[in-house]
Amino acid sequence: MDTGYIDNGFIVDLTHAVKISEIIYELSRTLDMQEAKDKYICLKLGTIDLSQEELTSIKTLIELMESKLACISTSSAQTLESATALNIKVSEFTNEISAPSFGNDTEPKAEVVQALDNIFGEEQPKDDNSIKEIHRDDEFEEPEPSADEEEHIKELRSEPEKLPTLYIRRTVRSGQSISSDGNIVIIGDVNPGAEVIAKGDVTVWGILAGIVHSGSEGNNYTRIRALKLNPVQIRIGEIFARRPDTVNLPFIQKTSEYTPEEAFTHKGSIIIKKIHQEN
Amino acid sequence: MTGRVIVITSGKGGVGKTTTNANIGTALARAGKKVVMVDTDLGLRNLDLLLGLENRIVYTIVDVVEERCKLKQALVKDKKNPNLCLLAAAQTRDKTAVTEEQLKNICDELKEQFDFVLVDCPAGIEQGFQNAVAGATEAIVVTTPEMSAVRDADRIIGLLEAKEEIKSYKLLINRYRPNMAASKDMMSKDDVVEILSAELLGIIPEDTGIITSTNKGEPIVNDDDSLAGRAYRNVAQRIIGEDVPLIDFEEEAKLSTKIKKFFSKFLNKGKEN
Repeated sequence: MDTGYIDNGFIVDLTHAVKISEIIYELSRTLDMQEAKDKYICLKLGTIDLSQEELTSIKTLIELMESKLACISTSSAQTLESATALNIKVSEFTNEISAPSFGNDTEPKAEVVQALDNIFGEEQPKDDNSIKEIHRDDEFEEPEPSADEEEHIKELRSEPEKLPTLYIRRTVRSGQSISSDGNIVIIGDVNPGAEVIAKGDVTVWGILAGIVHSGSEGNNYTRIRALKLNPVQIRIGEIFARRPDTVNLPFIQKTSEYTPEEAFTHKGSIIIKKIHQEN
Repeated sequence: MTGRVIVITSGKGGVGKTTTNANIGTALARAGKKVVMVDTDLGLRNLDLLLGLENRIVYTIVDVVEERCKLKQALVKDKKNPNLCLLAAAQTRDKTAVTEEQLKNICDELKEQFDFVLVDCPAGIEQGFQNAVAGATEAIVVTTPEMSAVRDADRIIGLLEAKEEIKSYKLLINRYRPNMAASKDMMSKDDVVEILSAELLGIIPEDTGIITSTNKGEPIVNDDDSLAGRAYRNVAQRIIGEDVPLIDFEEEAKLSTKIKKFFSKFLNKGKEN
């Protein structure tokens, strides 16, 4: 699913959705991010036919998530009719939408779960304990840090450089735990069932298949690097992600060819990318 | 709601406690019961692997005990069945990280919310066993038809009988090979029951499908064609209180030979023509 950016809001592309449950599921995932709070949401819908009730439930969900439904686009006559009846704006998206103001922070999650339960009973798909999957994207272009970046973010970015480093030369096996108030460098593999926890960066010269946590005191700008990144779970700062079930093999696949990989956070997700040679 | 707390134990390692736990838990959940599985094998946890839930574990039983999270937060929901939850063991700690008292409290809290609390017990009769048994009122003793496993099961039953809290225990014979039992190369189910003089809960046949299902993290009860899966589903039905007869493996074997013969006739005919 693509989410685009407009001023003060999001464009959420759900043109592929054919079932209302897909829309609710994707929306609840997308809007459960800090960036989505207090923003206008523009929904791009495709051919899906939505009744007034269904459209209302979508609107309710967005409001529960402390965002606001600004407008929708649709190619279905029925959805168009429902939207018109509900006074929901149907249009192409513009860049001029002003942000709504909201009251104090509440705990939206329980409410949202409740609302979803009400709408779909127990059938609705839930994100498993809200741990997202790790995204693998070798083509991902990381945005350059902007020059006017806030001072504390700059500090977080460079924090690992100022920390001491723990250097380990052996295989870290199941049940073993390595933790440090600085960075950790491991020359060897980290097997499934092992955990590595560092306040700064983690670098593994080998296969990383256990649980790894960098920025353990909350620094989302730390990074994890390994010759092969296949961790059961990655945690960077406050962001957790799990290995997709499709690669949930209990074996480490050893190969002779390695392309080093790097994990970092981007907009609340964890992305793994191969480190290509540059220059 | 007051659920039943059942500990699954064996004394000997490798007889299939964890496999039994995963399968009975899944089968009970499939039957519409709310089930939580508690892995007490601290430092050597496996239940999460059999269920394919390893990558979803954030908090473990030790985090609950040491109050780093609430009990509810540590429950990992199954991928397929929303009725099924796992409370994982910590991998980087040992048996001393949790006390009997703490485990009992956890079980007491869980049985308020679940129909069944299945406690996966570590091998041995030391602290890990004592912990696992602490909160339970029922036990399933898993054994295989081998002298060593039966001997250890006998030891375990003795220990269970000495515990006031354990109101009942039942026997589950795992990895049973009807052919070998028939030819007296292996202890038969009657031999095992006679030695242990315990009530039989069920018999699970040896099934190579278990290996595949373990590697995939997918309990075999979800495989409707598997005989072992069917046997586990029957066990779950018996736990719920339904009267399901034991599968007659000899009859099953005969049946499949009959079918083979039936088809071979046709195949041979085809050859003759």
